[in-house]
Amino acid sequence: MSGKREPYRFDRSQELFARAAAVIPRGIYGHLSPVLTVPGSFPYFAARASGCRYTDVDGNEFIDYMCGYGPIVLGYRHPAVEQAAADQAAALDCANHPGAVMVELAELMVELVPAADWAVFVKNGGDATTLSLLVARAHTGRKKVIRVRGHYHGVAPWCTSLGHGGITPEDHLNVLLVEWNDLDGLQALVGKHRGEVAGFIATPYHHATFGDQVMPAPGYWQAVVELCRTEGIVLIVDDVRAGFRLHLGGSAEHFGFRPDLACFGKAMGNGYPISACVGRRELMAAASRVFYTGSYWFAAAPMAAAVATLKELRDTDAMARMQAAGRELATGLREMGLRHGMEVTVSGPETMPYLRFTDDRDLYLTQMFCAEVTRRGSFFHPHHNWFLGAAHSPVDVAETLTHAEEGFKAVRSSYARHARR
Amino acid sequence: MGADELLLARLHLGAVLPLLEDVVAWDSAAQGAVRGWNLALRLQLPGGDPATVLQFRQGRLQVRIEPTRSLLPTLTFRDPGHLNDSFRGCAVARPRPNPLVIGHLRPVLSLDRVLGRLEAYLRPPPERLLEPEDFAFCVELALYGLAFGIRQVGEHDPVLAPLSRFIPDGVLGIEVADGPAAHIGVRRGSFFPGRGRADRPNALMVMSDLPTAWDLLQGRLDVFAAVGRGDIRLSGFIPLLEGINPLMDRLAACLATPPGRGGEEVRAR
Repeated sequence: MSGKREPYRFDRSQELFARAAAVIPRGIYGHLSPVLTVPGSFPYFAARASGCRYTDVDGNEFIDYMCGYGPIVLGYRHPAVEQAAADQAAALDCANHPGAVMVELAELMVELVPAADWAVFVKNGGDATTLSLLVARAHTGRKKVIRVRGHYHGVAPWCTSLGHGGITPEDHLNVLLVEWNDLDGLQALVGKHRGEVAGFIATPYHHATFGDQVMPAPGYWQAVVELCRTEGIVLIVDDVRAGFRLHLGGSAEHFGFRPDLACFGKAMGNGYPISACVGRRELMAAASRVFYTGSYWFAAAPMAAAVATLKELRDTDAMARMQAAGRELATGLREMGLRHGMEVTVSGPETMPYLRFTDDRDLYLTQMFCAEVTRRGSFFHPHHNWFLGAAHSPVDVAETLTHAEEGFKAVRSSYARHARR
Repeated sequence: MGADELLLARLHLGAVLPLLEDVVAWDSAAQGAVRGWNLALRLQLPGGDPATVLQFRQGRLQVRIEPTRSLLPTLTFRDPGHLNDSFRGCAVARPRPNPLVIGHLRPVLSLDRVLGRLEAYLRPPPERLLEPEDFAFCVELALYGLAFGIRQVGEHDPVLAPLSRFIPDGVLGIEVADGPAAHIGVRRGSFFPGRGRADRPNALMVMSDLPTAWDLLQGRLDVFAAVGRGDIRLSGFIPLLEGINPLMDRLAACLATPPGRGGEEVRAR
């Protein structure tokens, strides 16, 4: 395939969207809403997928750097995962009891994640983060939780900003906010609310949308662990987005600390709906006092998919391959930008990079660039970190760089207008 | 005194009344009504905050939002509810004049007629919207009202104002393609609305045509769906828009057009 193809059109996506908007609020809601991309330059509806590629309803094929917004860590329709899920579904999925596979999955999580002595399985990341709060409160008998401004923990009222429909100030009565990497601020907040704080929840590093990703400052996490231990605060790591892309034992292992509770999702099921809250032995009794359930939480097929996914990550070089692909992509984009006279900043881990034009904090150029590259066949999100998976090969990355070449050319004429130092 | 009534009073004085300046510049009936008026008239709540000054001079009007105590002919409303009822045309009592009003009785007593011209464009009858020039002006007026209103909500809403300091600094342009435009600057939780296009906005919201803009400004549009359809284009630093969006929603809720007060037929045009 050549990068110098005619830019894609999205007529069928637009037709479907018009129908959707008549019967579905927002047409497409949530994080898949076109609003978050560059409408007109991105597909809205997908038709099929395999490996690291998917095809939209217009027949356009994309090398996918969002991986379904994270879950697809091994590639779409990975044979081992599909087989495990199909076998389990053929035998039992949603039933009166969990399948035996639930025990196998919990044992595997405990084996892989050093912070885990137990596991509870839910559906979405937000189920896991909300459960973690309940466990922290049940364990400490305290009400308040501290979270970091800009960190995403799902859409439960406690973690959705005021101003969104249906959210009231009372929903945030027991939620305190601190800035990322602000240890002094955290200490001050804990001091001000001494004896009231049940938990501190944060993502392992700052991967908020619309901006550069920021790693923890040296010693940050270790100091947070110390503070939480001293003050009796449950330390919760929301590893839903980054989990199993930085380290097989969870991102906390990558950053050299051990939380009390950790939340996983996305990558653990390679696209099957499953998430987890895991924790230390000391919190298991508290977890047992929390009543938390859902009709589909015990579905066995996603659990079988998760077992297969985690084993594949454990037993193969999948993690190393996605890291290598991410490295190659980031290096290629930086070098290409400089060749075109435009510096780009690629922040975050190799497997979850975010690109923006260094001199354009307003992201006009990033939006143009990502739109151009996407319309040529590599799905680049302009506002959200990207995801690499084990299915991305050097050949795929090389092809993407040909699309990026066209993207840089397209942006060049607008560069002077939008670059501000 | 309810917080909502006070916010609505601020909106009437700080976002709606300034639009009278545009109406006087555009509407011949309004121009006729103010011909020969030379006075500065303040409308305020007790204590002078909020207050808005209407400066009439040689058939033109300039509106200033200024909570000052300088000596001016002044009409003081009893409380926010009284002010709001007056703007809704359902107040029984008139605002209390200060002695300086005595020298300007004719314009003060005729003020309702001028304000009626403002109402004619803010809540236009359907037939007005069939006139392209009038329709464009109604959209322009509503656009300015949006920008001015965002400031009032962002700085005074009891729930949202404390969060304004977390909205990123920058300038948001709100425009109709080949049509009217407004903009709003944000700096450390303060808001600076303006008419027209901004020079180098940090974020842009461009509506494809006047009907889309009108529906948006009347709170009748699924904005997310409109963006997906391409009827509204967003670009630049979206967090600025995200930060202002709840203020726009709150403003729409405060100023919701009562059913049957005009504009519903726009989609059929």
